[in-house]
Amino acid sequence: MPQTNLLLKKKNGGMLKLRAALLILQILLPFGLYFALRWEWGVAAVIISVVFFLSMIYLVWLG
Amino acid sequence: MTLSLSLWNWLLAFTPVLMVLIMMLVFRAGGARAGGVGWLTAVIVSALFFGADFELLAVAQIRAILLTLDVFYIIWTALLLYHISNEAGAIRMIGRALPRLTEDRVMQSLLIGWLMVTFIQGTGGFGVPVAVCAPLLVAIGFTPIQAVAMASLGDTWAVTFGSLATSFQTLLAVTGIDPGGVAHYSALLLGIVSIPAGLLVAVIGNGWKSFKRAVPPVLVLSLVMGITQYLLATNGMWTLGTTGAGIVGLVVGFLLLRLPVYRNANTGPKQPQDLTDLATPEAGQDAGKSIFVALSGYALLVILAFAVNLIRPVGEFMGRVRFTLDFPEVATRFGWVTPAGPGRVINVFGHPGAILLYACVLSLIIYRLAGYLQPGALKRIFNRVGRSGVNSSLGILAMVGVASIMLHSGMTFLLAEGLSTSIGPDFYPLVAPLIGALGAFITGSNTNSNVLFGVLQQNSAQLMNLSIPLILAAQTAGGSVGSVLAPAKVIVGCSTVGLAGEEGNVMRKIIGYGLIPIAVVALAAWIINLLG
Repeated sequence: MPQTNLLLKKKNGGMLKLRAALLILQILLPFGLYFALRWEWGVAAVIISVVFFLSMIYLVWLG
Repeated sequence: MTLSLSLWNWLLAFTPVLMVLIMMLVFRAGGARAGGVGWLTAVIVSALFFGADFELLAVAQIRAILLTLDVFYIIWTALLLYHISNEAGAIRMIGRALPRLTEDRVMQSLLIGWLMVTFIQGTGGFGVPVAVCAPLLVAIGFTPIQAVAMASLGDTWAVTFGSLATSFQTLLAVTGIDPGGVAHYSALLLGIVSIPAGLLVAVIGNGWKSFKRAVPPVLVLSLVMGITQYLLATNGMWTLGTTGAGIVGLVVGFLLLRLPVYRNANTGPKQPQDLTDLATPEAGQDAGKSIFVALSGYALLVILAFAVNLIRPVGEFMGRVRFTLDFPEVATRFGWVTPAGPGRVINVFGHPGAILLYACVLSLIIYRLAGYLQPGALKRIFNRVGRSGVNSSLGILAMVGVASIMLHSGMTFLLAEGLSTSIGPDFYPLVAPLIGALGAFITGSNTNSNVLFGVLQQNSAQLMNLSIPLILAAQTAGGSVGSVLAPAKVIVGCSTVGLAGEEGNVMRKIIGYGLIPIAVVALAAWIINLLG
């Protein structure tokens, strides 16, 4: 039983880290997009947008 | 080429909101998942049907991030202050102190879920009153869902003149109207809404059986708070409308507790059994602590908020460093233009979040010096803040993105235009508050709703020969109610009571009850219009 709790705690901790990473990514990407657009780096802007779009799909899957 | 108003286009514009509602209310999804679905829907619908191009969507999302950071500043610091105070024993001590002050559950509900919420709304913003008061309600024995619903509904009447009347001032700024008439009707409508707000707090906490018992104190408190707000608002002091009402409400509320009928346990619904342990004198870890020292974090918050907002030199000094980004003009293929200009300006040191942060630092020092923090307290505090903050923040980020994309692609304006043009002048006062509420529900902000729809409502009132001040008051009063029902705000409330990921269940409860104050605003505006 204590082993199961430990595993559950580890899993929850892992999920929290994953969500925190997703949050940081979703905050930083739009700033990257801002500067990519400002400096007219078209390819970078598209790549950042695609990553952001995919991160939102991942968020829906993660719940 | 312009986008015409048709039922099909209106329904399309409503799709992102509908998807969020379906996810939360039908599938009981959390805010993050529902927000994500809403965001994907908004991107697809705006690109396919509203002529949004890559640049427009990018600008909308970057602007949304600035607004999100503005909100995060408050949420994360409010969570931090709550967990610091909790670690010091403040929440447990309130849980023990309030039942000693009155054992009447109806009065306990009203004191925290309505009066204290109103007072905090006076200076706080974006969900702070709910984030602060919901845990206190949980501490005195209400369930987390009840607590969030009570604090949210108790706040419905207080938003327009709250946060130093930011929403009201914004309405005046965008419409350029003389403040006198709008202040008169806004204070009147919101004063009327305070009655259902108070009654709903009592009913959600204690069931419909408590309704009759709640009527006398709610009527007395609504009257004194409504009159205070009215006098302040109509005499040019609208920035203090909610704060003044909250202070007077708390004073009168405590005076009511001196009446035996509201103090004795046997006259009110019983205290839940699980509060027995909480109510025992000076339980273990809080022995020897003073409730005044334990509450110093929140006392500091109020003092600092007043100092920064009301002492001009302090406010000016704190407001020197501001952060924003400049954006180019963007337009849809159908000609809906968002002008160039700066995004949300974040006042780094004078922001409500900064004030919360100062309160956190000072209270940490006080608690440390007073020996109120156990070894390992800081680690526990940051762990708890992280656990509740991350999930909620993901949901808010997505929801704010939905609102921004809808705004930039003209979807939000089309929704309001559809409502306003399909209704004749006789019934428009019934619909005006719904438009205000819809804008606030989508954006999570009474201020944003007034920015979006203030001019539209003004033009509609002018065309229909209706009283412009009354229609604008109906707009902002509807926005006040709608903003506390918004998913983005519900997520904030849920984050402080351990309901992160269960926002759907809370939304079901809040929206059901929330329709009552909206209906009251609509009926009141309609009757006032009929009476001329």
